[in-house]
Order: sequence, then C-alpha cells, then structure tokens
Amino acid sequence: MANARGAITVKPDPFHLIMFDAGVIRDLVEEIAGSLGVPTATNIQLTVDEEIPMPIVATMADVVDGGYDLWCTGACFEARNKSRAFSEAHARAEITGMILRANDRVSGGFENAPADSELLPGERIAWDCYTMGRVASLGHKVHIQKRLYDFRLQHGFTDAADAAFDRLWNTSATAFEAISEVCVETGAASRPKPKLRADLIRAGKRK
Amino acid sequence: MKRHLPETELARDERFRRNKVEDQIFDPRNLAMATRDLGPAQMSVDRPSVSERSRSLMHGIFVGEIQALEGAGRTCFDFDDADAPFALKLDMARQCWDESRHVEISCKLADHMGTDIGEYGESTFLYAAACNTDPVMRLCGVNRALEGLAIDVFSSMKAFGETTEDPILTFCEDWMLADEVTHVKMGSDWMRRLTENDLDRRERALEFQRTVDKVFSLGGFRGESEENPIQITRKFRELAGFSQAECDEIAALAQQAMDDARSMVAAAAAAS
Repeated sequence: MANARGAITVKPDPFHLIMFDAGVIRDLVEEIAGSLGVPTATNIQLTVDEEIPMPIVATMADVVDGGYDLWCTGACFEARNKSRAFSEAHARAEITGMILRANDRVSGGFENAPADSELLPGERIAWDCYTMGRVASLGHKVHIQKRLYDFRLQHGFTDAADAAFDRLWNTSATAFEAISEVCVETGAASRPKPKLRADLIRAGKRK
Repeated sequence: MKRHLPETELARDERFRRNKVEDQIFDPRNLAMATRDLGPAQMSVDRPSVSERSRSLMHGIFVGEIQALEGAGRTCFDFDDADAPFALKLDMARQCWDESRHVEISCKLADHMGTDIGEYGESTFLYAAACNTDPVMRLCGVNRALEGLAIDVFSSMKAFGETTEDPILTFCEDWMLADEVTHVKMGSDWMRRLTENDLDRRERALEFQRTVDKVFSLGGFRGESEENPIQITRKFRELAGFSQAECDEIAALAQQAMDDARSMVAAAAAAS
C-alpha cells in the first residue's frame, strides 16, 4: 500500500502459521521508519519467514534499487515464553535494528559494505553490536549480556574482544572500515571462512 | 505433606511459564521445519542462530535441573523404607544437593550467555517421568534415562564450550557432567540391587527406561550422527554402569526415534 512514506509491504499477508497481524507489523514499520528519518520516498519491504520458530532468530537488511529489503525469521517477533504469539517489544527492537542497518547502508558509513549474505560472521556481529547499542540508546529493551555473548562467540572470550564490544556498543557513529578493523583486532578476521552461506535460512532450501 | 505430587502442582513463581505439550506437538510449523535446511544440527559457531539456540538449550537445562531436584526430593519422601531403603534415600538426598548446585550453576551460566529465568517456557515432562509410583521404575526413568540424557547434553555443551574457547561454559559443564555420571551410576546400582530377586520387575523397569530413552531422543535431538545436536556419550555412560550392549541399545533407540520422526514428516507431507 502506497502512503506518505513510500510503499511499505509486509509479507506474508495474512500470516497462516503464527498469530501475527501483517497490518500491525506494517504500522510498526511505518512508525519506526518515520522516527528514524527514512527518506519519505523509500520503499520498504519486510518479509517474515513464518515457518521459523524460536530459537532460530535471524535478520537481514539490504538496500536494493534504493528500497529497503528487510527479512527476518518469525522467531524475531515471537514471544519467548509463548509459542507462536507476537511480541510487540521484540518486534519494535528488531525492526528498529533492521532499519538502522539499512540507513547505515544508504548514508551511514556502510555504503560500501557487502550485502548481508556476503558478510563474514565477525563483521555481521560487530555491526549488530553497533546497531543494538543504538537501539538500546533509543529506549528499547535490549539485553546487553545477550549481545555480549553473541559478540564473544565470534570475536573470542578475551579482554580485547570485550573492549571492542564496549567501544562499538557505546558509539553513535562509525563506518564499515572500523568494523573491519575490529575484526582484525580481535582475530575474527583470521578465523576460517564459514562453510555455510550467511543467508542459508533465508534461501529456504528444503532437505 | 502429600506423597506423589503431580506435575501440575509444582511450585513456581511468577517468572515461570509452562509450555503445553500439545502446543509443541501440534505447532503447524513443525512440518515445514522438518523439511527445511537449517544448517548442521551440531552446535558450532558456524551454525545459524547459534547463540540463541545455545541460550535456549541452557534455559532448558536450568528448568531440567529444577525438576531433577524435585524428582530426587520426592523419591526421598514418597516411599516407605520397605519400598525404598534408607540408603537409597540418602543417595537421593545427595543428588538433591548436587541438583541444587546445578540449578545455581545453570542460573549463572544463563547470566553469562545472556538469558533470564523464565525467558523461555518450561516443559515439565522430565518431572513427569519422576512421578512413577514404583521406585525402581523411577530410578530407571530418571536416573538411568534422563540423567543419562543429561550426560549427553553436558558433554555436548562442554564440547561447544571448548570449540568456542569459552572457559566458563567448559568449566561449568565439566563439573556438572561429573555429578551426572554419579547420578546415573546410583540409578544403575540401585536398580540392580532392588530387583536382584525379581527379574520380571527389572525387565519392566528397563522397558520403562527404553520408553523414556526413546521419547527423550526427541525424533533426532540425540544420536550419534552429525544430524543430531546432542551426541550420545559412550565413555561417560560406561563409567556410569552402562554396558556396551546397553549403549548400543540407546543408540539404536535414538536412531529409531529419528527414523520414526522422518516417516511421520514424509507421511504428513504426502497428505498435505
């Protein structure tokens, strides 16, 4: 549906497997996009993979032909303690994170960053750290220890990794080059390249 | 205080939320999930959503420890000495002490991994296996089957801690693993002592254990292939009093559970 902010599309509409309302999610996207200064002409498409439950959380935020191409698993918006139920708090935080990352790609120092499917795990988790630090500063409930553990899994359980986490979490502006530097600093850049594609789940392949 | 407390009467504070088994079984996403390629089953840093998956498992371990504490505690209280000798109850009391410590360790590990008590729902099927009115069945279902599963889970979590170079997870899982071996050994020893003059009862108890083992293999959750997130740990099971043949049997049951689950998916896919 076209509106003052450009077309905002949520797929699927309606949801069949989970108790989500596409209209509610679309309204959230519109509200959050407005609050984060997304250019009014920008089209935003959010695809929610409703087949994927907790605990398989994953998001992607790319910019394609100037439009925001957002994707996440249903788990991202799912209430942690009630199967198939929608959690507005989780949805707000995750949508905010996805839109912030898409904004980064347009004019936030990440213009030359690879697509999400091409990012290395260390790069992605460092960018997520920078993103979720900003999401927290916007007043959303973000579990910092959860994010620290995610970061440590990819960057190591070391003082150097924790210092890098603090830096990324607390900064209000950085660029993809700084993310790459963090990966070198913690050793994440030297890890073997993953055997799996970063967009494995999004690809939706069947066994 | 009444004996034989049903799972519906377990005491929990407002942080906890109970999962309904039927919600899990009839979740319409199950069929789609069973056919989706979501990457390797075993826990590794390459696995998609590895952190949330490990956190969720950690929370499951935490509530499992609470229920193991409750189950061992009930065994101390539910039976007269004629049915369960005092020395067995002393062992169960010692197990309560261990499980209490495991609950505390699990809480701290949950903090470390970034989750909170009650963030995920609680399933109480572990405690349900501890509700059998025959103490020998209870020992087989809980100490040999479920504590045996705990050996597999802790061993897999320890391996995950080692590959991710997480010293806290590795250390904690190693310590809890040592206790679980003792709990399984107590179950094996008492099962044999209590049934040494009643082999029919022993066979019924072992059959109950086989049922619990198959159910808790959860259609491929546990096994010996790369498709199973939790690996059967033969070395520790043998330390806990399992024979090689019994380890083979558990592996076969786990494989059968996975095959059954695949058949059900195939049948459901064909019908849809």
